Amino acid sequence: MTLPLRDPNTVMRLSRLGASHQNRLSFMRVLLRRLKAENWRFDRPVFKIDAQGVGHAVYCAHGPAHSYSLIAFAHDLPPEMRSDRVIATAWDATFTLFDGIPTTKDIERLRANVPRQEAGRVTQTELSVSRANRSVRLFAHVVERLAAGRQPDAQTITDVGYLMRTTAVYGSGKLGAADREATAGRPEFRAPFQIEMLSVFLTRAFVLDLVEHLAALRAPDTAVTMDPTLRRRLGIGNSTGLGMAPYLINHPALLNNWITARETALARVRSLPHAAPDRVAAFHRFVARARLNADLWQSNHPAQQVKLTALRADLARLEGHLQGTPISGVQPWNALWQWAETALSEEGQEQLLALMIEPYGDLVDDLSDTLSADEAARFAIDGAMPVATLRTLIADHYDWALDQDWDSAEANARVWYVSEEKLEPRLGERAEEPIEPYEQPLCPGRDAARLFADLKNAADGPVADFLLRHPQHRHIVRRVQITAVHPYAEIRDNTIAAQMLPIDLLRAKLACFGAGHFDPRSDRWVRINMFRGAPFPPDLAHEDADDWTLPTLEGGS
Amino acid sequence: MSWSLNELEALARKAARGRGMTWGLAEETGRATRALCGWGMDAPSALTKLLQLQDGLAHDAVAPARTAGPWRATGGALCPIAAGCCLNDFATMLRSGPIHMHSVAKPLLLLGFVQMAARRLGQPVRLTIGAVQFCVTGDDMAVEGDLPDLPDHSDVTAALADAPFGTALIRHSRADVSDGAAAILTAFAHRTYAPATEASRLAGAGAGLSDND
Repeated sequence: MTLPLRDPNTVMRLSRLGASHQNRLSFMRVLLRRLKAENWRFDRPVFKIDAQGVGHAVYCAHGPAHSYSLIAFAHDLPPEMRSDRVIATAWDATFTLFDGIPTTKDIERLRANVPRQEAGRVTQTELSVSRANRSVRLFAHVVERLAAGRQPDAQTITDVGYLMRTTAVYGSGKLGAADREATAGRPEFRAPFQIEMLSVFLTRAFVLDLVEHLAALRAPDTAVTMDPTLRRRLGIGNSTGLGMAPYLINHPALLNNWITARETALARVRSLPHAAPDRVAAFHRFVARARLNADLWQSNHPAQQVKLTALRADLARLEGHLQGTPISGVQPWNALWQWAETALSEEGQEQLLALMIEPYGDLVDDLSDTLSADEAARFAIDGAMPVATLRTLIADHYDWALDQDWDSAEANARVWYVSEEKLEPRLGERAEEPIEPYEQPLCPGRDAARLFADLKNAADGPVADFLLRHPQHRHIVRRVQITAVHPYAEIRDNTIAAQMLPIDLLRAKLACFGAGHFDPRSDRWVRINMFRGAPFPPDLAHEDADDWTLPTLEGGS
Repeated sequence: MSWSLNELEALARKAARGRGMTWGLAEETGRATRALCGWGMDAPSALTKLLQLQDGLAHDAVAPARTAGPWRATGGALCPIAAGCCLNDFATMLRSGPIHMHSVAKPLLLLGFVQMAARRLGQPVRLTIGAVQFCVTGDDMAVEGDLPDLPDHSDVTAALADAPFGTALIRHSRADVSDGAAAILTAFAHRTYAPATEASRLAGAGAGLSDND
């Protein structure tokens, strides 16, 4: 018997979303599985970078029907100009993912635009635009060591984890690039954010080549390449700020599909009547590796430190439990899950979810086909719906919002707005700043409660009549109708509360991407690592493409 | 200049909000503008003129005052966004007979809504704007008459069509947006941005910690 999915009222709370972990259905993993399964080929037709680190390189990925090229422009950035904030105007390296193989003319056109990022303009042959900055802590150290014929310090590599961090990866039509709709029909881009993930995967290869190249130019006689084990430990860092936070709220049908896929995977494993010994043994290894991972995961942010302490304690408790209670009997995974719901924190439960589905790729990986959403198809409002039905839907799906006092200063504390200066989403204090007139529609709970109140006095009849007289509710009526058929579409929490942490929204999305080692730097921006431990493009042909997110037990990371 | 449809949709949404539409209507404006560009029509120019024409007018002044009988606005011309939303919301009314709209500004902008209605009804809809007729199905669009003859301002009739007719329009994957229209839409969009204060600069994005390490 298949067990039901978890209740959206449990799953879609901010604190739990903020405890999300990468898993088999994360977009980076979906990408690498496909590249491996389809025998994608990789080459580097151009690498022209001088001793100052200035020049360009082209990395190509060749799939069954299409080739894609990461065009990387490397720059000599004065240290005082290096900033990860979206307001920066210069970077250590800038990139675009090109649809096909670029000609010299393409590259010259892009050289005039890609290094300028937001100030430049690309075309439909470009699929993404991004940029990255060096890690001051690590980049110079690695080049110096390699030039001197020595390997970089392994501990420093583990502590920092990346040589460059991206500060924005723009896709889907941004800056003139191709819309997602233009390529979404290609199998390799059907799952979400595959363009962006491919871009970062190739960026990682470029950055590792770059440090070895710079070391060789600096000291041709003594320079060495990096030890493959150390190389592997380096991912691409990323700084993610408030700009990304509204995304999950602005894409309810898509969010629903991401969460539904994950919850379906969990339900399938929980529903298994028995657990084969090899799967149980694999699970035990993943738990041990997750413990190592939790130990390696560092953050100076007090909230994250509390979470890490909980996660480490949970994993120790889990191992203890497994020793006393073997995974056996009828629906053994469900028994384990039910224990976890009473014994572990949200961090531990969400980590366990990822670990439980890990040995069952054959059972859950097909769910990656369900991650995308036809958002346009869900846009049109059903005006014929009776007002009474709309009332019932709100009572059913927004009950968490209806019992809040939305007039209280605490519940209504924040305003999401876009600043004139940076044209980026910001979060402000309603009582302290004159920003309410600029409020973005990013608080569905309050809006649903206001709609519900106005519906109480509305005449029976179609929603169309109501909306003609109450156009201010059009936005939330659309959301309610989407949520009625997409139970995980809505974050069931107050997104403007005084105590709301934007980093919870960021982590939920970044975990879906496949990021790990979340390191909040404040309550509103977070550092992460992408593809840390993953094979490099040429390694995919002869290595496991899908066993890299947790450190190995043999002392690697 | 060539714009991606996503860029254009985002700009149209913000511009509509900047003109004072509610967020829900602004979203519809973005979709409708995108849909029209997807059929190769100069929706950005039409939207620009609409926003200038109806800037500052209340919804009640430009929306259909009632849906029984011909639709008309109390404050002058009907807004094609407000009327278009109604057309989609009341799509099933078309099964009982045509919907007549009196004096619609920039009626071209109705087409995206007609398409949503046709999709919902599963039947082609004929939209008559002056001497030009459009045949709109859930997936396709065709025209009878010359597009340049399309009036700026016109009475409009929407009715179910028995069968498809007209010359099929070709899908476009990009929007050609004139610099003039882009500048005006950007100016409307700009009204949605909050002026920065020193406090918001520091707190708004949570800066403060060095990001250069």
